[in-house]
Amino acid sequence: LASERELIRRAQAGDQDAFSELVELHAGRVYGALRRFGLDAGEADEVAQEVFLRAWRGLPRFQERARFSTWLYRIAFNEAQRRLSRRPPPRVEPHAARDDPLGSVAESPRLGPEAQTLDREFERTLERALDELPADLRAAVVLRDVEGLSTQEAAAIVGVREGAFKSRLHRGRMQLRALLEPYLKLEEG
Amino acid sequence: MSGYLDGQLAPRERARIEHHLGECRECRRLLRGLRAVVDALHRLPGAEGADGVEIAAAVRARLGRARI
Repeated sequence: LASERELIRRAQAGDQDAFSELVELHAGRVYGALRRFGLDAGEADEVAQEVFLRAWRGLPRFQERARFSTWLYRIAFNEAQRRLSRRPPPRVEPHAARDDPLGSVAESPRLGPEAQTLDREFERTLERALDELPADLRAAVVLRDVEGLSTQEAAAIVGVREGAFKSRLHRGRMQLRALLEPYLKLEEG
Repeated sequence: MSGYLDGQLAPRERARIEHHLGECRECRRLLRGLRAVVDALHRLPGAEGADGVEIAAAVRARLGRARI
């Protein structure tokens, strides 16, 4: 198997087979990030293709000192924001629904710090809580805590200074904590 | 608090927060909540529905069309 670096060099020289291998390697993560930035399945599939078409066109400008995956995240983030900005504004929900956005998952098992894997119900609750976050806070949480990028990489992707990024990340985490508090085991001892 | 959780604080700032945590039950609870949320986010599995081979084939087809 050719190394990623070798595939990138061949793709930069115009080799579409090499580029297809790169797409296969990274499509899952790009698609996953797009879904978690707020796109639905159909949109994520379509936008993932756009991301790789843009990557193909931008390959001559890609510099090897950057991580290829981080470069793709940057394109994916920009494409997701573009798609989200074209959506009509959200409908105002009935008051009761706004008061408890996670209300219908009331029976979710509680998650203790000792839990090693996420219960499927809690996983859905967490995904829905992520959906509740404003787009900028959600992107910060997704890039840093779900995708596992460094603060420096994630701040560069969303185009803000590290201090501003850390503030978004903290606010996003705090909102998630508030939404999920009923499901978390937080008793002392 | 997020900076503390991520291990990104300078030693003096870290010590200051740890001193406060030793005295403030509410902030200990807050930290436990944040830690549980971050741990859960780390363990979220990849989004379902992605097929790298299919996406690669679609991209390849579109690149071929673009060249004509």
